[in-house]
Amino acid sequence: MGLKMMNKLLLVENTTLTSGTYFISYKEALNLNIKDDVTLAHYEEEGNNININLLNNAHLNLYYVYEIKKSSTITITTNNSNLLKAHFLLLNKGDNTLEIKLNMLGNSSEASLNLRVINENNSSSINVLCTGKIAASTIDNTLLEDLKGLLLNNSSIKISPNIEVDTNEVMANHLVTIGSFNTQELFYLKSKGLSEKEAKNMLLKAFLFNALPKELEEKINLEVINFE
Amino acid sequence: MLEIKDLTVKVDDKIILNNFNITINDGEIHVLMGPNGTGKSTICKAIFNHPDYIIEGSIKYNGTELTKLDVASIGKLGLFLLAQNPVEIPGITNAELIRSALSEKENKPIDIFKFNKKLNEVCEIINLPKSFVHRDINFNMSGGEKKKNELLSLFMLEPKFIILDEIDSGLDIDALKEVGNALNKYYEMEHPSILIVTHHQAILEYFKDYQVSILQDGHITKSGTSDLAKEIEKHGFKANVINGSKNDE
Repeated sequence: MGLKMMNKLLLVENTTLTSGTYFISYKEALNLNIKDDVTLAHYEEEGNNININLLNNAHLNLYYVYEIKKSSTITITTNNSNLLKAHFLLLNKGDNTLEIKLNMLGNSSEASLNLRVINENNSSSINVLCTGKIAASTIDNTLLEDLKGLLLNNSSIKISPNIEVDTNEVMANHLVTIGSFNTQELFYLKSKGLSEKEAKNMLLKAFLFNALPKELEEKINLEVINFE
Repeated sequence: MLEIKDLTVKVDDKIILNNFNITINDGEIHVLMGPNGTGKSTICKAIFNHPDYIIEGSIKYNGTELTKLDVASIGKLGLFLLAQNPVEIPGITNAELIRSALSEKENKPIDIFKFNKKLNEVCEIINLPKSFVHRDINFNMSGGEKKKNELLSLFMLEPKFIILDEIDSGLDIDALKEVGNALNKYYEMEHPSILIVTHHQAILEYFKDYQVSILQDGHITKSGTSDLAKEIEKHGFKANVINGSKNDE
């Protein structure tokens, strides 16, 4: 089972990305500033920490495709009038903790954190700590955490959705679901003649990559192979 | 030919179908009617050996015992279920599903050129916009669009035995006409067997000759021809089912 991204831009130092679409990876912990309107497709093999800072008025579509091989932390900071749509599409390998921190420091920003995570095999376990903090005295911020885990066989997924609010003027929601394959979907696909393995592979890809825009799909090898 | 003998279907400890018997010959259209909650949808899924059911008795398709096969193997035999509320699967397109299903059925990679050509032809036949080919399975579609979308799979997979589970449910007059005409066209082309589960006469107007059976209390209580369906439409189930005799034409 594996994920691959091609044609990636390797970043090795602090960087500011301005309007455009970027495919990145990095070898060490990275600090990234986002300016204007950026789509960022990120493939990470090593599990290094990353800090992303949205400058005022910046819009970020983040597609964080990640094979988790060690515990790591992703920190995102919004300031004023930001729009953040972050998708974390994760394949966990081993026994790991992933921490996602969102700090909303300014006003009038909208953020959604969408997580889809699966384990590679029965012996893998993942603990996701997702914390959104809305700072004191801020106004007009919106935060949605939509976090989903798909259980394969006896693997373990733990997701902790946290929202810490220090202001009265905010709209914040969180949603967590952890479950196995939808039996109706499985029955439907199999009734069309697909084997159990093929049907599950298709559902697995759909679960992980449904959020991925078509124009980014061709940059990423979406084959999730050897599912048993 | 589909032969169901002495079929009992349970969910947990609840008996849904009891002593259910029916034979549907090759090329036959058989209509199963009955009040709500009598097990009509259960029989549709039981034929596919649905994993939620405890099944006793025999369901044979062309001599193959379906109760011993898994769902995928039954699909590969050429049976096709068009459900009342087709499931939505975001993230998988119609084209992906159909291509994979054809590839598994034929046990070889499919010719993309021929595949695309046939998809276009089918879209023309069923009056479905070509954009639906690359839409996610039934996702964000109206009731009518879902049924037409399912017809795309049906025409592409070319089943020999079709089960229509209340396909007329949720269709307006125009959508029913399109779906009915498309099904009739497929019947004229391929002459499959068709099991139609319905409450109403309307969908039956698109077919010429068919047998009708009434399902009550988990088994068939009355059988007949198209006249029986018309009687049901006119007088309701109670008048026709209570005290009705089996095979009374």
